[in-house]
Amino acid sequence: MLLQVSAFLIKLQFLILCVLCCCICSVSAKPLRIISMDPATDTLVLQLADLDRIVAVRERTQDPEVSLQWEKALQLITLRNEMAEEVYRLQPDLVFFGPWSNRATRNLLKRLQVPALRLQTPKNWEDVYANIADVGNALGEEERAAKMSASMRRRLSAIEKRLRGQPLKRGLFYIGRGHTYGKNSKAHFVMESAGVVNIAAEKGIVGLGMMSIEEVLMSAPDMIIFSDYKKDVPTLSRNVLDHPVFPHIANRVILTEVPSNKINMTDASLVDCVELLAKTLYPHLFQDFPTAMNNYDTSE
Amino acid sequence: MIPPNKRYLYLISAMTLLLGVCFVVSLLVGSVMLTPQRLLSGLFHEVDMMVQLVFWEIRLPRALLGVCVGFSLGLTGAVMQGYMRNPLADPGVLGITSGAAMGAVITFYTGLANAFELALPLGGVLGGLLILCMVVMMAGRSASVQTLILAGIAFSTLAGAIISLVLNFSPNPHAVLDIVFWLLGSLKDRSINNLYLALPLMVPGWAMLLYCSRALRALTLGEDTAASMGFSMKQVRYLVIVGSALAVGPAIAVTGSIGFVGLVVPHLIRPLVAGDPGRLLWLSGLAGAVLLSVSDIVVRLISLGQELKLGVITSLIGAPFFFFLLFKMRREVV
Repeated sequence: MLLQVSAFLIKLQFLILCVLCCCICSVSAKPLRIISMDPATDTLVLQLADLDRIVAVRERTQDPEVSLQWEKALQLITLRNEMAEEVYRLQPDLVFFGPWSNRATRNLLKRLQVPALRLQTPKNWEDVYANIADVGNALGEEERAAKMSASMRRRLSAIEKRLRGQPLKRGLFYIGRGHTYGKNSKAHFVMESAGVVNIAAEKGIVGLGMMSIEEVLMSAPDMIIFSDYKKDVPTLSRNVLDHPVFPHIANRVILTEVPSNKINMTDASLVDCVELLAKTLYPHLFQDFPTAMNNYDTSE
Repeated sequence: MIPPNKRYLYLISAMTLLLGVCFVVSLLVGSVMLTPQRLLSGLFHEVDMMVQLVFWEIRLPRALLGVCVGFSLGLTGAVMQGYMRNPLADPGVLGITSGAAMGAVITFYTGLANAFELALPLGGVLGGLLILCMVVMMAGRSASVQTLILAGIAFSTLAGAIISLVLNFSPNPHAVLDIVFWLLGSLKDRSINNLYLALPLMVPGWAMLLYCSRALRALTLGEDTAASMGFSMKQVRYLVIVGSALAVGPAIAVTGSIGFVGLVVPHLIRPLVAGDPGRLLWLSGLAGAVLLSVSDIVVRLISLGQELKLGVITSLIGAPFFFFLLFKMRREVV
């Protein structure tokens, strides 16, 4: 009887051990076939995960104007479209979606039980840190993610210290077709951290909004920030930015360009933008900071 | 009873006066409210540089473009209706507008517009010319209303598809959104450079079209009678086709497709000149300029968070008018 009980206990212990091992294995198993479907998530994933774990990213991520991680992206399979069949045939064990991803593809992959994570557009720095942490957790790279966020917090706090007590200047982001960014946008919290009062937010614009050139001029900005994205590719939308009024005001207003491969991301590149903006607007406070931003080309 | 010549002069004077009023109002209205006092004082004081820029670089070019583009569309519509003796002929229905937009978009997106400055309006002229020639060739000059409209719609659709194709091939993914711009047209944020580019081609176009006034009057009696009166039909056809392309092409190249002005305006003016197609030309041009200026003022006054496209207003006016014409034609057939 005693022998039978001890044999049963040994079996039970072995069973518990097996279950525990399985649990530990499944917890520590990092996804090894990762696909990312948006240039911003691509760039973050390429920084947090080793390259051999990533299967595919978006085709646009190979463009240096889109992502700073373009060289790594060149070594991967790229997805031109967001088609579910294109993704599923690569047998991913984790898929990252951006905020503007294709809903049909997301739903289909969900039905096929492909694990997925969709990042939201950050409305403030806490959202950025949350995105980084979420991606880190999903990848099993919590430490790398925490390091990235800590470094960003440190850099932002250094900028904040230098700007403390300074009279703030006013400016706005101005992109193709006369669009601008108000409250709850990436551009807004980047400008805020760089000591720029966002004129678009003052006018009550939330997210993406529009301002005519007339409104821009009469709002008396100290700085107008343009995007350098595909600036050499002719588009009708960019025509607004080539309006002859801008060279006229170049001696009164700082016209500057923000790198599109930084401002569109959801990682430490955003802090680069803050540093660049702060240095451009308050050069006396940030002399020891990295190079200032490109001046907007006002030649006609 | 006022003699026709005097009546015509009165009408021209009244329309010019109305256009002058619209022009001044257009200078006073904008997305930023500037009182006439501030606008005037700003113009003569160096300190208010932003007001000067708003006036000289934004509002004045916009008002002038509105007048010139409206004049082109109104005049071309009147000439086309007179030449084809067809009440539904207009630059939009016959595909000149789409053709011009196609030409301009191709020039713009292939980078030709950067190679030399006149490339953009010339692209508009060539596109409009190409489509108009094709419509006339396919439908024939004395074609029925249905044939003409069908040919116009077919070539407009083709031109629209080519616009979408060109924009889809642009390396900038956001360029696809530009389609909306072309389909709805706008005078927003245009500069004086746009006027400098368009006007040198538009003026010869106007001259060619206005030169046709006597021939158009003769054409009301039929082609043979007009020819017997000494008008060369070959020359008239050449003047109408090239003149229309020159007048509308550059206009569309800088503003995008603005529909219905050329269709509606001659119909509104015709009763005032007792159906005389010759006298209709100047008045239609001026009325087109008034209609476009008024539409542009309305666009700026209606605040919906972002400015409405000009083509929306002209279509809102034009589409019901189009239905009215259709019902009228149906009644006549019955």
